This record gives sequence, C-alpha cells and structure tokens, in this order.
Amino acid sequence: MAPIITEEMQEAMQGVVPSTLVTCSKAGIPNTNYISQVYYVDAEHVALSHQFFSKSIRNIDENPKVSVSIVHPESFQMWRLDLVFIRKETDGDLYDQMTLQLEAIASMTGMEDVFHLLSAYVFKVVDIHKIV
Amino acid sequence: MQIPDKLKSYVNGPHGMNMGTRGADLQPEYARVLGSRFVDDQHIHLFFDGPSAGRTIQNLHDNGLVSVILCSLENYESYQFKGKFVSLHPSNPDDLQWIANYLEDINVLLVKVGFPDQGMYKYPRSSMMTLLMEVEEIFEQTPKAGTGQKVFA
Repeated sequence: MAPIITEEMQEAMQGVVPSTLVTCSKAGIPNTNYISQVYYVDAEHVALSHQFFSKSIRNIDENPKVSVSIVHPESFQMWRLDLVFIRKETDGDLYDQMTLQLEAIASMTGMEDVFHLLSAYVFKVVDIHKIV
Repeated sequence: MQIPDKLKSYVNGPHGMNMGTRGADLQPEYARVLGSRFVDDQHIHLFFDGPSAGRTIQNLHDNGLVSVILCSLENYESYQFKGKFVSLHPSNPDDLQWIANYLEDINVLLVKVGFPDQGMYKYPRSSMMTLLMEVEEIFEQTPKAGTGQKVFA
C-alpha cells in the first residue's frame, strides 16, 4: 500500500518551520540543506521549491532519491519522508500556488528580497517515518 | 581542513541542526541533531538519538560519509559541514549535560520567535549517540543569492 500524506502532515507543510532536504550526488556525497517549501500536491505527491541554483538541485538531477523532514509548528510532531523526483514545473497552477505560498513564507521570515521560485520539483512519496 | 576561528564558537551554539547520510543504494537519510560541539581544528561532535535516526547508524558504518547543516535561529546564518565519521558511542554524562544545555538554550530562542514552550523536548532522546566527525569541507548556506560558497580557514 502506498504511503499517504495525512491532514496532520499537511499542517506541517505550511513553511512555518523550515524543512530539511538531504540529497546525494551520483558520486555518493550526501548534501543537507534547508528548504522553504514542501508543498502538498495530493496524498502521494509533494513539490519542493527550487529557489537557488544549488548543490541540492544538481544532486537531484543526478540521483532522484531524497529524504526530507517536516515539522508541525505547534505540536512539534515530525516526519521523515523518502521521495523520488518525477518532474519539474516552471508555470501552471502548481507553480502559481507555490509562488503565492512562498511569498507568504518570505513575508513571515523577512526574506521578501531573497525568496523567488524558479521551479517546482514534484516528487512521489515512497516512504513515511514518524519521528515525533 | 581547519575549522575557521569564527566557526569554532558557532558550532557550540543553540542552532537548528540536521544531518544527512546515505546508503549503499544512494538513498539519502535525514536525522535530527540535538547539539554539536567543537572538538579540535578538524573535528566536531554531533549528538543524535539512535533509534529515531532510521538508517543513519548503518550508513555511518557502511560508508562514513556525513553532512550536517547548522542554522542560527536569530539571523539565519547557516553553514553545512561535510566530512566523515570517525567514531560513535553512546552519549556519556558530559555529553548528556551538553545536550540538556542545548535544549534549554534553543527552547529559549524558539519561544522568543513564537514557538510553543518545551516543544524541543518532544524529540526522542531515549538512546543518545555521540558522533565524532572529521570536517573536510564547510559551505556557507545562509539563505541568499549566491549562497553555497566554500568556507576556508
């Protein structure tokens, strides 16, 4: 049975607590970084925001497997999601919705001049582990 | 490499801390870190809960590669340390005291920026481990255009 993103987990995807993204290069070097958005697409898919030309993005282009954390801002419940990259989008409804949410996150964190969505990276959820 | 002077005290701070490893199949693995400590010019300690860290311990023993990101809650100043596993042992009383101090300090900062009091204490700590990491590279990761530059001593 495919892992399902619950309503509780969706509340941990509002961008209040930054998520952490772990990627790995083809050569096997892990890379750990923060990511502003883990966006709920549907019960089996999420999208991550691509804002900078980063090592994380280069790694995903080489190796589609990633691990990401999400944290509920009130209960501090935490999940680790194993994801696999499917596609990227640079326009359309998903891109527009993520742009709006990213603007709200930027406003909360004083990053209006820094955060700009370049593309939405869509992933399939392959495993979910509850940490807290 | 040598850890630059400006980062020696930074490592000891009550920052957000998260670690990544990977398996033989190049599957990355996330783990929460509950404190880090400067050891010497090439080494730092990372403290994490073993049972809730998934395949992290297995990955460390298999290939030894580790990266950890630290982020100041006050100004978002962030650095990623990449390197390799040297040793791992159950946290001793000194380590556990360091972790307790870390939790106390970061809780104060989190409350200051609006998060619920005691939230950090919900993270599992049933079997804390102390990882000695040899630092080979450091990258600045403060959110801004052009971030990701390598930091030199």
